[in-house]
Amino acid sequence: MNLLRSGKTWATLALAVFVAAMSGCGASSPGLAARIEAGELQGAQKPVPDDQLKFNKEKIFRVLGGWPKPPLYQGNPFGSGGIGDTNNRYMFEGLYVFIRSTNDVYNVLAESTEDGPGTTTVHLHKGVKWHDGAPFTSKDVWAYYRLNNGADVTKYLSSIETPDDYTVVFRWLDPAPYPELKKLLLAQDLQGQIPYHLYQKYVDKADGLLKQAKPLPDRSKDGPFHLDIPDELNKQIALNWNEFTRSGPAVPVGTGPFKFEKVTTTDMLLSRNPDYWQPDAVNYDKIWIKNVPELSAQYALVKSGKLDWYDGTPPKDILESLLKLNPDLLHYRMYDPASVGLMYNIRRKPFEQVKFRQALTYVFEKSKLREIGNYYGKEYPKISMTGIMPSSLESELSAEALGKMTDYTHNPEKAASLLQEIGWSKGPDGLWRDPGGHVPSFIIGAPNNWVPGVNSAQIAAEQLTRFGIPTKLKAVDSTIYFANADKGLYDMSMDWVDVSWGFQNPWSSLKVVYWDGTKKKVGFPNVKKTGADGSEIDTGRLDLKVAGIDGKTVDVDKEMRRFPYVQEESERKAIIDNLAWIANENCWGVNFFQNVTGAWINTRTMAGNYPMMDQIVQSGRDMPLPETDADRLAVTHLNHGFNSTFMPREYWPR
Amino acid sequence: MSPRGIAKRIGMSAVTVLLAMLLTFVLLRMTPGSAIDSWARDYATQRGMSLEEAYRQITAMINYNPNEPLLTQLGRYLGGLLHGNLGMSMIYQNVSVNEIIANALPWTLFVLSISLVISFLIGINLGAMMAFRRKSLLDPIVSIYAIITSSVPNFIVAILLLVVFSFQFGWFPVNGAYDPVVEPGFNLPFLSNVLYHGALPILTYVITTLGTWALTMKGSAVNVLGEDYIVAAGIRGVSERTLMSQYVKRNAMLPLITTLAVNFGFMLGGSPLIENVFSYPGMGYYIGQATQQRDYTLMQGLLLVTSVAVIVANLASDLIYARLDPRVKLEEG
Repeated sequence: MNLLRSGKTWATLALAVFVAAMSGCGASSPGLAARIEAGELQGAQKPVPDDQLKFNKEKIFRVLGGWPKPPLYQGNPFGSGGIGDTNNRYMFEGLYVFIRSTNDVYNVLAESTEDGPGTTTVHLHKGVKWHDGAPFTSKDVWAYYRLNNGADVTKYLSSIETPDDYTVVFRWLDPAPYPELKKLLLAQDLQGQIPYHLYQKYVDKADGLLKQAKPLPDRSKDGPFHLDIPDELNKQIALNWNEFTRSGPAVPVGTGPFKFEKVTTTDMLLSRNPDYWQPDAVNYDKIWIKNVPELSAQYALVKSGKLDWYDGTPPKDILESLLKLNPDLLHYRMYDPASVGLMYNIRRKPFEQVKFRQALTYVFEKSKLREIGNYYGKEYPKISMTGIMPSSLESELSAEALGKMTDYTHNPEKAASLLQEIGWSKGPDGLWRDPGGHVPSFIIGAPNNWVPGVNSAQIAAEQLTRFGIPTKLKAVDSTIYFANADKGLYDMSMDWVDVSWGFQNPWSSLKVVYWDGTKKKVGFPNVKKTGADGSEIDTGRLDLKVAGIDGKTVDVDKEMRRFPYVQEESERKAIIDNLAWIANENCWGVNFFQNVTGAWINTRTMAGNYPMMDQIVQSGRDMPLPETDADRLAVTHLNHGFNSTFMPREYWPR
Repeated sequence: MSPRGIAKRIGMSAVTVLLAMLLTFVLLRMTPGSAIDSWARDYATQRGMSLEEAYRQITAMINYNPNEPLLTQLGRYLGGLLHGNLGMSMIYQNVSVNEIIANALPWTLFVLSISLVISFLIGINLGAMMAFRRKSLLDPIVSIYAIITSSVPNFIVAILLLVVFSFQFGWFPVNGAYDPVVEPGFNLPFLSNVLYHGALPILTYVITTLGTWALTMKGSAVNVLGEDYIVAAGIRGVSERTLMSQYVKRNAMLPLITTLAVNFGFMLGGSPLIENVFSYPGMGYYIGQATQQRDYTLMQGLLLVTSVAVIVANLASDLIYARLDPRVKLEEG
């Protein structure tokens, strides 16, 4: 056994040395820095004529992606497993695109938009065709929402009309959301995904079923197109949706710049759509997507220059090694609209006490959590959890609200004093005891495959234990973790916090806190009502009434529901100030650090106007976080605007 | 072996299959988590609805009731099995488990049968030589090799081969079973492409199992070498070469036949880790996916095929062994 153990150690060491040695063997031609220094990249860059291409003559854009492997693959983006998120953006388009981190909205299938009283009229581009040759018309947009009636925007619409083939009229409920929100609600959908000519059977059935529903009596409840859908009807709608998701087609049919060509378990080929309505926007003939789930294999592909673009920031040592070994690589960092954090479970004692939660929050040294969780992330020591992306706190909140927020910067003395205030005492063994004299021990739950979360949670547990509150990390299989955390099985749970999954708008990230993921892990109470049989029914609606910034009691659910319809920006700002302040003061969780992600360009094969060109040499090709709006936008585009845009049009083969 | 003995063994195998199937069925349902949980999360995000609503709609959609009595579920499962139907994947609802297995099994069979044959043939020859020439350098070299390769997880070897031969030298493809540019079918470009893609997975299996075969064979051959008939053959002047190939190797191989058959059965389950490294679309890959997504019907189907394969291989080895070794016949008689 000992021999085996020593054999294992020896073999592992040998492997590490071997891989490192082999990885260093490759050498490239003059890299990016040398080319810049030689003056090769001065001025605005333009696409290279085909006959002058040197390094990517076949004009193939090579990236990574994922999809259900054949025989599981099918062409319906709504089918089980979808067609792969990465691949969506090459084949499908919406009326608009928005950039998640900036909320910039651009027209795509919409040629122009007019806002009228209670309506938004969209004029579609003419000449747009589905990949099977059928024209894209207003009926397709209507079909998208009648069938996909769970889409967020349908809660705010009374109807969608199609006066002609190229005009769509969205009729809003009264009151309607404020103008910017209306646009974002429409921009977050990919309307060119449900070709009516392919799915007519399901669209018409869904439309017929919706027509059977009666209008809701008032605005206290949400429903698609303001309809009150009884359970039986809802079941029929869901079954129709299920049949639709199983109906194919075998390969995707979109309107996008690339058409599906072939798929195997590991490779997908997309070819340029010859009928694309914006032919000049396509610089590549093919997209070759590789499905490589293994991280080490992904890094090896990046290092060996076998990809043109890669998404993600590896740990510091790997990042530096990749840049060193391949002089053509260029790495950009960007803020992720999501933070790694911990939530306290207020269903469990003593976490129901705000002072206890605050005490724990003072214990955390966020810089250490960030260093281990994501070296390139950014910590914000002053806040607990606000529901707002920390990097935009200053722009979204008023100085007054920020000034009134409790500062949670690491302060063990403050933590001790808060604990003493609620009757806790520290024993001679250095451990804290509750008022009953009991030494508690706590568990932090984390999904086992989430590296930043698990790593930072381990350090957080050690920091609490060192302070005298024994805490352990429980890394749980990710397939069951979230259900367990939502049920309140852990004292503290790790997840993304202060995050907006769709467009980046304070209301969107506050929804996560008060209505979605954070609510379940913290365990906010819901409004209960008594059923016909006298039993208690959970309505699922938030029941949270707490003191606001001015000391008056705030019904959080009511404020959240009111927000979309408030037309005055100053009034909306006041709501955001209040709700963010409430979250920070009540300390339902801790924002460890805002995540920073990245994008890699292989400049040997991919040319373009690389953002922040003047800083490339100086930064050693590991670019700092962009500071100006223009740079931020350019860098965000590099990451497909966080999954919402088709990026290669801004770059071309070299 | 007598017909009665054969019937007895077949009967025992059938009971084992039944027990394996029941155990798989029950144990899978005792594992925490549910297919609906992760699906509901995706569905809620996709359709912009609450998790509760998504959960409710999905259970209605797929007619799945997690609270349905176990016996009712088992009855339905057995009913399907009697018709050769392993059910539909819970996650990928329009694909049957039979179809998924039919797609995955050939790839696993292809890679593992070639690697098993290669490693077995090389291993037994090396083992016999080690036993025959115990004072040569071959013995310690192969022993050290076997210790190293049996202690290093096989996926590490897979990554190592990938780094060196695919990324560094570019001699082999990075992953997959064949290039998308070749047309699948019974044609030379496709077959050679498949072989080219299978080379590294095959090499991984050969490297990691070769040493074990050699050591097992060595142990068996050393025992045989001490037998009286070998000593007698030596005294009779039988050449060393004939002694090794006709006397020692043949007899020493007998116990390895059982191991070979059982390994053949086990290999049908593939290796999730190796197949994941090479993104090879075999049984192991789908076992990994089904486990991750709690796709019970798919897991059941894949595990059932693997269990049946092991049991059948075991039965086959018993029957073959009885034909190869007269002593077994005597015992049965």
